[in-house]
Amino acid sequence: MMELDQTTGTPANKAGNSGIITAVAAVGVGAALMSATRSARAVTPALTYAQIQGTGDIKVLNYALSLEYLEADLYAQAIMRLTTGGTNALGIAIPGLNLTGPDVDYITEFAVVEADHRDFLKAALGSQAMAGFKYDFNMQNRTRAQVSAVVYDAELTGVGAYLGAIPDFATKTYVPVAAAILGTEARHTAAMAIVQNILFNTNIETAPLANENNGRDTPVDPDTVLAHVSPFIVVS
Amino acid sequence: MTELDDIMRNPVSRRSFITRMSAAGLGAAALSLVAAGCGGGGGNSTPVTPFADSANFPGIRGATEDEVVLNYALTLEILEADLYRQALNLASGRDLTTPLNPDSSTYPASASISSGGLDAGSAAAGYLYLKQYAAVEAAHRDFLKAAILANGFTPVMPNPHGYTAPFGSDLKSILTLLRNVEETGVRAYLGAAGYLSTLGLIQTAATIYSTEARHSSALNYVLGLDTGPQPMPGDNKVTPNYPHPNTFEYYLTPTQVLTQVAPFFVS
Repeated sequence: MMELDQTTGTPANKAGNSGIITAVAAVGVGAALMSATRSARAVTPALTYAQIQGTGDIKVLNYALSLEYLEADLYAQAIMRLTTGGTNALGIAIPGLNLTGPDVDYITEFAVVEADHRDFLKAALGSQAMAGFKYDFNMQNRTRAQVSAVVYDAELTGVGAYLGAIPDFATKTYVPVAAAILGTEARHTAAMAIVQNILFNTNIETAPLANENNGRDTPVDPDTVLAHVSPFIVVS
Repeated sequence: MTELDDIMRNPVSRRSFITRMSAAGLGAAALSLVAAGCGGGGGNSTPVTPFADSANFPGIRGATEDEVVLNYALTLEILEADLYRQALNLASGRDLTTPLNPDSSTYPASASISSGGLDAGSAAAGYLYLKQYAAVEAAHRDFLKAAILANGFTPVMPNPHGYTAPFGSDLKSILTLLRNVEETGVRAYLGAAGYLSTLGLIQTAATIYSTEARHSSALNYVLGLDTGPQPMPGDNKVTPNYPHPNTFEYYLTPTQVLTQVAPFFVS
């Protein structure tokens, strides 16, 4: 059992949410869903798989793209927060913490990979690609530990999401490339677990233990994944 | 034209995406790793019935492609589980033949051999992962065997002569060997999953595959290596252009994998 600290909030609701920390019990594997206090600007109700554009394989690829958009932007904002600061797509200033360490190193490395995934899927879909959204992770208020926690959670969610989407493909055509992305998300998940254990004395598992789903990762269905990430998604 | 457009429109690319393993041109080294172990009995009453693609999985038995692919995975999980069992015994100061105790708390708190130059934190984490993953690989083996039986197939048996590996004598060398085995495992699943007939079976196999990727990442981390993926000899790509070496995973064909792991099988 492990705990993730999550906070969210925007300038609009900062007074009400400031300091709220929701400890989420992440039982087993793939179940570490962020029960985040939602952004005041977040899409309501949560996005559903039915809203993802396209049919068949195109729909699955757009679903994957929607998650890669989020991950890539999360990493960009995380780097701003951990290093020299910046301004996110919502125009929110993110003060930099001017840190160095394994969290900065790995988040910087993985940010490139997630941007690659986003760009690959977007190019592959061409004119059928969905547009991205804007994302409010309350990054401007996150502590160092909370930055790594939300990155870890996004990667873990990605693992469950890719596994859960496999049966939604119409054909096996895109399975290899989707699986080739899935593997990297799994690697990132393990690395971010270790980073947190080193820096913050957490005890997060690098992988499912033998008594958890036979030591296997757990697929998460698309609607559950989208409900989980929607509190960070701003559509207007 | 995008890469995926190309795959969709180009029969050669599309075929290679799905079944390129069969065209890898590595030569069908006629290994009989498993057939040798199960052909003479061992509880297997179902005869090996070759099918069209059997050359893709040299030596792996099965009457259908699904049975062959699942037995291929089981072959590798049996090997992995036994190498982890041996490695954990070595690192814990126990006789190599000691059976695995699935309760990792029954093993010492720290390794009883030299770290081989790993710093204290990495050695502690590495030994913890060794204990955890040994039990996980045994769970994968048992899960796959049960899944094979549940599908009405006949699981392969362990190599009757056992398995051996050049572990070395310190924790770093042991973890390095296991890291290589895990990296091969990741590539094996990615190279074989496309042969399974249904997306449901592929999904099930992928739930094991992603944990192998996690194990690889964690072992790389404690060994001071990039968490990966980083290209290794013989690696194949799922799409022609990787923007960075760690953008996508790599895969190995079953023939490549079986050639790589052959030395672990005692003849």
